[in-house]
Amino acid sequence: MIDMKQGTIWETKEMQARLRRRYRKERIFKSVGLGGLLVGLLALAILVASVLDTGLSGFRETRLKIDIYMNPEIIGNVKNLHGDAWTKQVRDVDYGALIRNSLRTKFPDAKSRHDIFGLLKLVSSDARVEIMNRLIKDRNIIGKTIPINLLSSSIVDMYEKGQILRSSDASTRKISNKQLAWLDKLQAEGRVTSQFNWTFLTSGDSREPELAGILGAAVGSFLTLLVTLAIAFPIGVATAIYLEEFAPKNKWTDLIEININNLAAVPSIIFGLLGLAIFLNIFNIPRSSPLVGGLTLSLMTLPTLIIASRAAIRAVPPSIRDAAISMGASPVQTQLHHVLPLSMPGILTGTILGMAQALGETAPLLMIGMVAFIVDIPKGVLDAAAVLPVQIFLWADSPERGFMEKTSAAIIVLLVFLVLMNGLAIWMRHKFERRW
Amino acid sequence: MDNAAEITPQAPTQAMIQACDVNVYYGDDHAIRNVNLDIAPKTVTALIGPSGCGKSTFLRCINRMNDTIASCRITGTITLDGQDIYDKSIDVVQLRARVGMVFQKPNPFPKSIYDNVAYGPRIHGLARNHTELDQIVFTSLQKSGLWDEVKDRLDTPGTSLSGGQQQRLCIARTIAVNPEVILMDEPCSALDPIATAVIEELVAELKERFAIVFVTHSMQQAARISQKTAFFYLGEIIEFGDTTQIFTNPRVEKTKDYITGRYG
Amino acid sequence: MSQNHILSSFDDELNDLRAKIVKMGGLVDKQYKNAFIALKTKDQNLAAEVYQADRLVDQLDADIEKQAIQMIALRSPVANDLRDIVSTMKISAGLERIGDYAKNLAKRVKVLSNRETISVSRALIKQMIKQIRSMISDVIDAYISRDIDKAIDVWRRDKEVDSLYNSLFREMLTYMMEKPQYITSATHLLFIAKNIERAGDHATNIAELVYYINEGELLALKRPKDDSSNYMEVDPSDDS
Repeated sequence: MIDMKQGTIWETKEMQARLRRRYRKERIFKSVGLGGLLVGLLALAILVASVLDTGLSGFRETRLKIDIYMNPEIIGNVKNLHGDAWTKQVRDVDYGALIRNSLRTKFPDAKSRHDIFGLLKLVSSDARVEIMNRLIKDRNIIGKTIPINLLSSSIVDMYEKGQILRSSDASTRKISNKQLAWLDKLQAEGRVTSQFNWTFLTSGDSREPELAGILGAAVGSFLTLLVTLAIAFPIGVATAIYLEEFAPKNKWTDLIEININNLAAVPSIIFGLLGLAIFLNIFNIPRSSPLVGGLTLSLMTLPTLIIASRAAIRAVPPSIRDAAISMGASPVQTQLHHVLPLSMPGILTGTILGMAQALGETAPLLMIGMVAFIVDIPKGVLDAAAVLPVQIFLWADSPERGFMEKTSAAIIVLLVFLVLMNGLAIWMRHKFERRW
Repeated sequence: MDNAAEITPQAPTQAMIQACDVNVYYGDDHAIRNVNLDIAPKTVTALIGPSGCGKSTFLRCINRMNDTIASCRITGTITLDGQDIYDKSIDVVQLRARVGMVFQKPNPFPKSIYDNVAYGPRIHGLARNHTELDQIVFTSLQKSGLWDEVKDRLDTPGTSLSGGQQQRLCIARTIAVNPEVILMDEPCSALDPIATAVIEELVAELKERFAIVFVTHSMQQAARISQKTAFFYLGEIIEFGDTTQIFTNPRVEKTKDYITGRYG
Repeated sequence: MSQNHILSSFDDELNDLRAKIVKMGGLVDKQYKNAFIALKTKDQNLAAEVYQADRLVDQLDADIEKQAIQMIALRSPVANDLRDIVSTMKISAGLERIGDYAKNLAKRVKVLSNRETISVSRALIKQMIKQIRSMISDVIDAYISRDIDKAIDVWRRDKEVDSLYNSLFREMLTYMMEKPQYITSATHLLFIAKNIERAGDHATNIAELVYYINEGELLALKRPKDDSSNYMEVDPSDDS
């Protein structure tokens, strides 16, 4: 029997032990939580570090300063040409020969066909275009010897970045001893430089790692998301408002609700199959286009968006609805004047998170042919395009070792996009959030 | 507010709202049983009774706020100026402009003070231009005793005001559409005694123009502000009469037990 | 009383208030009893005791008034509770007045003890005091038991006190005319009788308050009045 008349004695041994046990439990609980957080942070740090480690070098390129003799014999008589004739003539110039002759002048020890081929391999195939551009800019350079900073080939780039080691076996490394010797000579003359790789940010895909760029995929992703947003946002918000505020509560709406929740959990590749069946096979929308990609991704995003919007609408206090209705506002006015503006921050956050999910999605796009090798930067939603995650997937799959850093660099770009979008979501939430 | 003149003056004794055999059901739950009540113009009618006795439910019948609840079913008639408000020809939006409501928790819109008051006139098209709208906002804020406190910050959010001010803003918002009846559902339950006293004084002033139906849990409040009191118990009106009579000499034992705080 | 309050301390306070009224009633009754004995036995000590004891009655009245005002301020009583507390305050004031008349009676004992008393008047005064004592105890009973019938009964009995007073009045006037040496004692006896008659009126008031507590309305009947002394004249030539 507990004697209720006598006050509880808190100083007894058992009581003190209980207290200690309670404190110990609290400490354990806290440290487990903290531990989980630390593990998560560590994983994130490792991921970011490894991606940055391999990827950051992708934003730099190596250039070799070579004196090019603009041999008029090879260029031909173009001095007096203008307009189309000039353009045509300039295009047809054998720039390869210009490079070859200049390199041979520089490195007279290269005699055999094999050596000359190796010599040419030092610079990128894009070097010809660079010389052509110089010529187009200034036709007076014909007959002169001018130093041009030519883009190096992928193997030179990799060697300079330390991805190919001089110490490794000469038979398996991609770069020969002779090539190394030439490079050493160029290095000694200070002709090897490293600079920011604008090509990566301004051009489309390429078979050559040093020429491959992310812009095509970025524009493709942008157009695809635009289509997704344009379709998923209005439909999603309208559906959410209807289900939350107008639909009668019965078996049918329950069924619809369950289905929407289930759809959010359906593997995304299923949506790809759906897109393939409907948009490509039935509606014959151009394959690989941002339009079909956007349509497919909007199917995938809709359930998420509807669920987020419904939660945001439900979070609007009923007192606001009461106030509007009691003032004589019609149901639609109540929604448009009060509920929607108040739930907008939540809806926008949900939308941006859904968009971020769509941005990172690969599987459904594989099904609708967005996995093709596309060099051109898309100009509209009907052009064939790649998207960022698919580009990453493609590069990761390429045999050329030079694409390895491009893959990581592309991942960095994708992550920057995602962080920006999430940041936008947080900013919007703060900006539009209203107190009630 | 040019429609003010169109409201026909009523003889003070004539009932403005007449509830006749009103029954309300929530699904199978019989919330209101055979309620008959006459509400006179220019009078404060207090509805008192324990929680869940149906006084708020009855209040919400008068401006058809119960329409928003799907399972709610109402029988009997409630007339406003002789018109059955549940008649098919009645537009519920117009009805709610004629019968304003103030809620338990102050619920100003998260908009500016001005927009809060201007909202009703805007959606009902009561002002032809900005000058008229300004005039309505000014008059309403003045009548609700808020003008002097907010005249310099009409563009600040209504939610930035104190609880009592918010509630008066809600009253200003309601009278901006020039209603005939104002329903008040425990409007002071979230306020401190001083803010409550200010609202009570305001109600006494508003009584000169509007019929006010006032639900309250505080019997002292009902005694202070109302001229008529109806005691609700388990969905029925147990007693309805002059407030003085109800509080000095209730006729029904249940009323007496309730207002004196005895086991019921 | 139908049911208990949810706040039991409210009931406790109400009961305390009632207990004080009962105590006051008992005290006043005892005052009349002692005052009469003092009058009868010419016991001036007892008379002085009665005179002193009135202070207790006054004290009780002050207590009741204070407590009632506190309860009104703190409990905000309504309906029958309000009627109960306010009426109890008035009943207490009435009892205090009734007590004052007993004190007045005791005061006159000194004068009367030095003089010869009139035997007829003593019998009438005795009857009046008996009557007033029963009225006081009955009205307190009615108050405690919330018995309206008993209250109405007390209310009606005031008539008897009045008629006793009338008889005494007539008697005294006659005495004074016949034997002027009796004038002093007769006048004092007249005042005593008048005071007892007033006490009866107060008891009647209390009966009305008991009715009001219960019914919430004033007793609508016509007050029984049989005090005709105001119009009474006795001429020496009269054959009485």
